[in-house]
This record gives sequence, structure tokens and C-alpha cells, in this order.
Amino acid sequence: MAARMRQEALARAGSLLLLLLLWEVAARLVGNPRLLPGILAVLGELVREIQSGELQYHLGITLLRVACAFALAMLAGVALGTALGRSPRLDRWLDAWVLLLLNIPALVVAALLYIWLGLTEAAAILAVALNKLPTVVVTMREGARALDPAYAELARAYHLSHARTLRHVVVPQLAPYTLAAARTGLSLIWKIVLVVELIGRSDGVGFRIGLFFQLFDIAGILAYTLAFAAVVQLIEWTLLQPLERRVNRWR
Amino acid sequence: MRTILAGLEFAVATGSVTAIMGPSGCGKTTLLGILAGLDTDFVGERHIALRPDGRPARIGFVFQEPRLLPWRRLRDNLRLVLPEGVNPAVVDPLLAEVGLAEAAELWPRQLSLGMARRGALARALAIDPDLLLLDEPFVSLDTATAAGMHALLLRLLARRAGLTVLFATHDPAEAALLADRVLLLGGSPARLRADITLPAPREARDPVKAGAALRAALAEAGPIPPSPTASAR
Repeated sequence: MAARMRQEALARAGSLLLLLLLWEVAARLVGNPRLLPGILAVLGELVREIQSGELQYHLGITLLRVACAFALAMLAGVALGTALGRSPRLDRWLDAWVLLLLNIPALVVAALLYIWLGLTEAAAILAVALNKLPTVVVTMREGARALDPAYAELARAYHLSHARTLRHVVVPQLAPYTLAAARTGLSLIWKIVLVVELIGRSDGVGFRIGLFFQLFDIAGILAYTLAFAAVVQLIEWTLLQPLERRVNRWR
Repeated sequence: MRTILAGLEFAVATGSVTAIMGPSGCGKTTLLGILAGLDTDFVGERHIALRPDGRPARIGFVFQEPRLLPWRRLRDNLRLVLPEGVNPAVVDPLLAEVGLAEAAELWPRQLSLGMARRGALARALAIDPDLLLLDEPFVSLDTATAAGMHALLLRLLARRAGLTVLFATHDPAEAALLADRVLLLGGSPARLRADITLPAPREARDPVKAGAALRAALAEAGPIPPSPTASAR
């Protein structure tokens, strides 16, 4: 067991190293640091951004937006998705709306909300949350449809209270779907939040990258990408994977 | 809409054990569901005597498949059904009684079918039931495991004098071993085709002789006309 985990960690580290190596080789082949800077140049840029405090500031703001939008979309999405999965009537009425929202480009939602609500924090967070909401709804709807009636019958046979039924019978069945929604939702949010920041905010990673773009500062763009990727990995290892193991431990 | 049961009328005495027999698909599960209050789509009446303290009777139900919640450990599966205010520690002696004291911390997935069945039985007993309904609780167990379960149920019943039991089975030997009385269902819709009282008491009964006598009595009730659903399968 321990040996297999060590092997897995080694493979992961190896694949990351390989990626960095490929990058470095490509940078040398291109031979133009302005077009594709090498690892050291990007790391230097990263250190400078950290020393000036810019990176922490912008990354912090972006993470805060991600957290708010994520919480909002998950809360609303889990509630709405479960309701749609349980009630075919409601689903008939709202299915088309969900499909529409699922297919509206992120940029359209962001542009409209910025126009209607002004270039505000609320508009930015709402735009991100609205982009994620339909994927959560669709996943949770599947989960609610898959609820096993045999366990509902068990709950009735033993007169379990609503609270107990929810906690011990319903939530455990929905947990894998909630986790899947959280995971796909989070990766979607990372992608959308930068676009939303780029067009309507004057802080955050998206704003910063927009600035680098205007200056053709590729080292800056890559430095932020690196920092961003590190944060995503950290969340995956410290939050999502332990949670997944806990939810699946009975399997 | 299909009528499954018709013209069914019977009463069972408190503390008695009744076997419900009949061909597969004849409505045994439906009858137990109605008695348990799970199936309310029926015309007729069902009366269950109140507890001595005047409160409604508690009904323990053992489903055909054990139906333990796979995401809760065995002990927590039992604790879950306890009425509010009951000390959760009461489930441990019960688990010991069905021989699962060592398995309390296991996940249902780690239990054999026989163990899971015993767990489901312990869960039904955890609510301190007045009426115990068992839907083919020993089906698809190997002979030795089934015999062990029969002995276990007899032991459990001996310690619970006032417990009324109804169980569905298609095995006359099982009915002859465990029951005081056999209700035979048959036809479509199913009606009561025979009501056989077995020679009491259970403990003094010769299971082989009683089995043969029950088979003869069941045969006397006449060949059961095949129910359309059963033959269609």
C-alpha cells in the first residue's frame, strides 16, 4: 500500500518534471525570451511579483471571488438540481432554461451583468456563479433521479424523521454527485473568473494578466499561470481528494 | 392497475407466528407491505392492537434483501432506526444476540449475505417491535446458513413472548419449523386458499413429521391455479 502510494507520487512528480523539461527545451529552441521565456526567467518574475506584494494581492482577490461564486453556485445548484430531479413537473418547466443557461457563452453573461449592475463586485461574482450554476444543476438532477426508492421505503418502514432521512439516507446518495459537481465546477470557475476580471475589474489575476497582455509580457503571464496552477493543485490535494476519500470510504 | 389480493380476511393472535405461503408473485410481499403501512393503495381495513401503554404498535420489517445502508457501519445502521430518546447502546447486546458483536464496525459491503440478513433482523428487533414482518428472510442462503438462521430466529422468539410474527416463505419445511399457523395464498387475484394450524408447541414438534404433514395439508388445498404473472415470467 505504502509502496504503491510512493510509486504514484513518484510518477506524478516525474510527469511534472517532464513538463518543465519540455518547456525549457522549447524555450531554448525558440531562442527568443520575449516570445517564450525559460523557467528561470519566469521564476525570477514570480519572485519579483511576490516581493512587491502584487501577486498575493491579486491572487487573494481572485480566490475570494472564486470562493464566493463557488459557494453561491453550489448552494443554489444543489437545491435546484435536487428539486428538478425529484419533481418531473418542475423539470418540464425549467429544463429549457437550464439548457439555455448551459449554452450561453461566459462572456455574454459577464457583459450583460456588467451593463445591468455596473462594473461591480456583485456583478462579477454573479456572472461567475451563473456560468457554473447549470452544470451543478444538471449533475445534481442526475443524482436526485438516481435516489434508490428501496432506501426511501426503508426510511418509511422505520418512521425515520425528515431530518434523519435527509442526513442518513438522501445526502449519502447525493454525495458523489455533489463532489463531481464541485470538482467540474471548480475547474470551470478558474477559467471563467479571469475573463470576468479582465473585462470588468481593476484587480485580480485576470486584470493583471490583461495588463501583461498589453505589454506583451509573457514572463508575467506565465508567472501568474504558475502561481495559479499551484493553488489549484493545493486545493485538489488538501480539500477535494481527502473529501473524496471520506465520502467513498464505505465502497 | 391490477388487483393483486382479493377477499382476504384473517386475524392473528398476539404472540403467534404465522407463515404466509403461496407461489412467487402471488402477493405475499404486497400483503406484508399493507400490514406494515408501507402500501396504502388498498381497499379494506387493517387493525393492529395498541401497545399495553396505549401507544401504536411498533412494526419491525425485514425486507427480502437485507437493505442495510451501505454508507453506514453495521452498528450505525441499527442505531439509526431507534426511536428518539432511546439509548444507542441498546444495539450492542442485540448484535451480540445475532452473533455479530465482532462485525459492529464493519461496512455492510464487508458482510456475507447471511451476516447481512442477521444484521437486518437485529435492526428490526432494535425498535423493540410488537409486530415483526419478514419477507422471505432466509431465501437464497445455503442450507447450513439457513438452518443456522432458523435456529437463531427460534432462540430470539423464545426470549420475546409477546412478539407477533408474520413471515413470507415458499418452503413448507421452514414454515413447519417456525410457524404456529400457515396462511396459503393463491390465484389471481390471490385469495386465502388454506388456513392451517400446526400442532403446537414449536419446540416439541418433530420438524420432519410436521413438514410432511404440512405438505399433505397444502396438497389437500388443491392445485393452485397458476397466476398469470407467474406463468408469464
